[in-house]
Amino acid sequence: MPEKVIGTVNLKRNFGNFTAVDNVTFNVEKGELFGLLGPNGAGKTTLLKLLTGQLEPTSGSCQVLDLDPAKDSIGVKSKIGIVPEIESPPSFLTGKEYLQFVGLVRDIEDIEKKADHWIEYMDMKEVQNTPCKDLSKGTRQKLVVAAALIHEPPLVFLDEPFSGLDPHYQKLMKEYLKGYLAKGGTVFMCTHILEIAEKICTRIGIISKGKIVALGTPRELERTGESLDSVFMRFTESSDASK
Amino acid sequence: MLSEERRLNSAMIGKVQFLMFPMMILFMSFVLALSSKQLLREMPMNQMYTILHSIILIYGIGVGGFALFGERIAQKRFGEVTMLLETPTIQPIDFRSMFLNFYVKDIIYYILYSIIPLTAGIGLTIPITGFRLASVLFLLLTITLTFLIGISFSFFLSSMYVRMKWIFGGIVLAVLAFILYGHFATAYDFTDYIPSFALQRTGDPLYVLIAAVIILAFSFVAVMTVKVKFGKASEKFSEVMLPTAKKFAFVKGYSTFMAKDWIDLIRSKTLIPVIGAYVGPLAFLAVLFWFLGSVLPLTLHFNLIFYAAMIGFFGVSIYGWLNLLDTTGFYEVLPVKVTQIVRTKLILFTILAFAMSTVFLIVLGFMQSELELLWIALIVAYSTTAYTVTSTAYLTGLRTNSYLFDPKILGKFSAIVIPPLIVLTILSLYYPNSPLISAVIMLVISGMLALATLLAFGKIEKKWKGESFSF
Repeated sequence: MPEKVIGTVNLKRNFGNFTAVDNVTFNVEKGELFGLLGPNGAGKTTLLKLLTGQLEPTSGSCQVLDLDPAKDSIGVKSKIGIVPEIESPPSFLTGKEYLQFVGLVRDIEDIEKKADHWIEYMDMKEVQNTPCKDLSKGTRQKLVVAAALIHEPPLVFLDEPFSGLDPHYQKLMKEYLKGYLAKGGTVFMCTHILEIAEKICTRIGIISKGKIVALGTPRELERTGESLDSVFMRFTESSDASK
Repeated sequence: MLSEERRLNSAMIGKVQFLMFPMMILFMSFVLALSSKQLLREMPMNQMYTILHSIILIYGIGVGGFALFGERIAQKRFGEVTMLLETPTIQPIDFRSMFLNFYVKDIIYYILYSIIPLTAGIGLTIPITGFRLASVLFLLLTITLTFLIGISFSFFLSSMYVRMKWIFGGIVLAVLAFILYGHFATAYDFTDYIPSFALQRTGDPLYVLIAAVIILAFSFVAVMTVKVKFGKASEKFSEVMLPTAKKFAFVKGYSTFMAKDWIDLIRSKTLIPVIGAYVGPLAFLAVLFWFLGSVLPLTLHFNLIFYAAMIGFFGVSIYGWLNLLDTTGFYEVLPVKVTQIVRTKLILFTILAFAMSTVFLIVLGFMQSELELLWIALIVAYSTTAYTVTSTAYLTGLRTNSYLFDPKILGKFSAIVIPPLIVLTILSLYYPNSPLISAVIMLVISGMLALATLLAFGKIEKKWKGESFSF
């Protein structure tokens, strides 16, 4: 029986009168690369924040690696890796120091070796001694990706991880994720780049106005011969119309 | 811009609280104006005006220092507080015009937010006190001019500091020399040379013109010389994270965060402003007492214990600075609690404040020949410092600079901090009459403050545990 690493039941989050996530129920199993697709403001980031303990739900429940993020956010964050939507590493630490800092916070072994490995892997040697505030958007993005993966977590949450990365690093990232999945890792990824989702996700959920409006493998969603692009437009438009 | 300022402040502290600050000023000036008859028995009107104008001048100087932080504002504000300052990089408007707009916006904001409520409070007492409306309006004019002289002078000075430090140093020395010579040689009263003060005393409209020329001249030079670099070459730093964390190993679970904050403090070049923010107010206090002593018929002497009590109060500014060093959003994705960072800043603060207060009190002890008071002064300084700042951390968490503007929190802060401060101040003044009794009571109070500090430190966890790093 497949091992469930993420599970939600009627998860809901309101901000005042606005419902950002509306009774969402779904599971993610070990070894999956689950892609959450949706237009801007659909609730992708809010759902990711609920799953990673950055926000508490208004109602409903969720489990991540057998922990409840609302009750034990530190426990969840210790086990997982998160690439946030906005790449904002600390201003005055250099890129390499930031990785070392994350290593110290997460109490990992061989901090120096692992930081060096990621600096090399992400081709950041030239800027490793530059304070993060002076790095380009793309380099900061590479850095937060490295910081999320340095402790080799069994589950990573990626919020628009390809944003700001040039095609070379997008390819590198995709290859890394393939290897990571092969080693038994699980990925939950929010994106609105349908092309990437179609190519690398093993299962896809489409969210619109806070509700999951479609769920399945790319093949299941494209069963009528439609492209993922058309499926996405159909589900998000019909959801808009129903409102 | 004004809308943005209003929305920003409302968002930070709430709409009601935002409006409560000017209401508090209005209420306080109303009460003071009502008691003006009693005050006039103790002090001539001219001296009251001098004190009011001095406070407004210092207020103007205080809020006008933003040019000093031009680069820091540009770095910190982009994308975090406002995109407006960045506009020159993407829109057809030059930086100077943008900065001038900011300057004018700040002036209007502070006048609406503090100067007008202050005068309105006095104006509201007209039916009771019988003040003439013309006098109140005249006061509005003179204190507005004083405020503008303060803010423009400060803006001018800070622009000089950023661009030409030697000119800045020269101007500060010249102003100090002018004030000190006037005082010690009893040659003149330097306040006669501040046109708005003179306008208040004489009513001569020529001073309005002189004040306007001075304000415009300071502002013009400041705007023309203000310097903010966009896209400047970045510095490179050698790797110090791991060795610094090792150095702070003595604080066990906090060593990593302490190392980060320490590196921030050094690389952001904030250590000197932090020291200034701590020692500056004490120096200001010393100057203020000297000034009051020179305009009032009183002999003022404050012993070492008095300054020790005051030190604790000013420690809040260091804690505020530590919270401004860097954004904290990146902690959100790490297994870190807000309370860990609050405590880290408290520990770093303690190290800095204890070191600086010890040096300050030893130097002052030498200068005032009061080294025999050093032992008790140090106990008072350490206990009040720890108590004041732990209370601040408990009340404001990581948002000290926003929450202390919230009148509700400011009220709680005052209720917690001011009573022991007043008692210690009185005891310090009473000390020469009865050293033993004063010392015993001060030791008991210090012990109680230490106990309260431990309690507040323990309660920080409960108060801030559900808090987010994303503001």
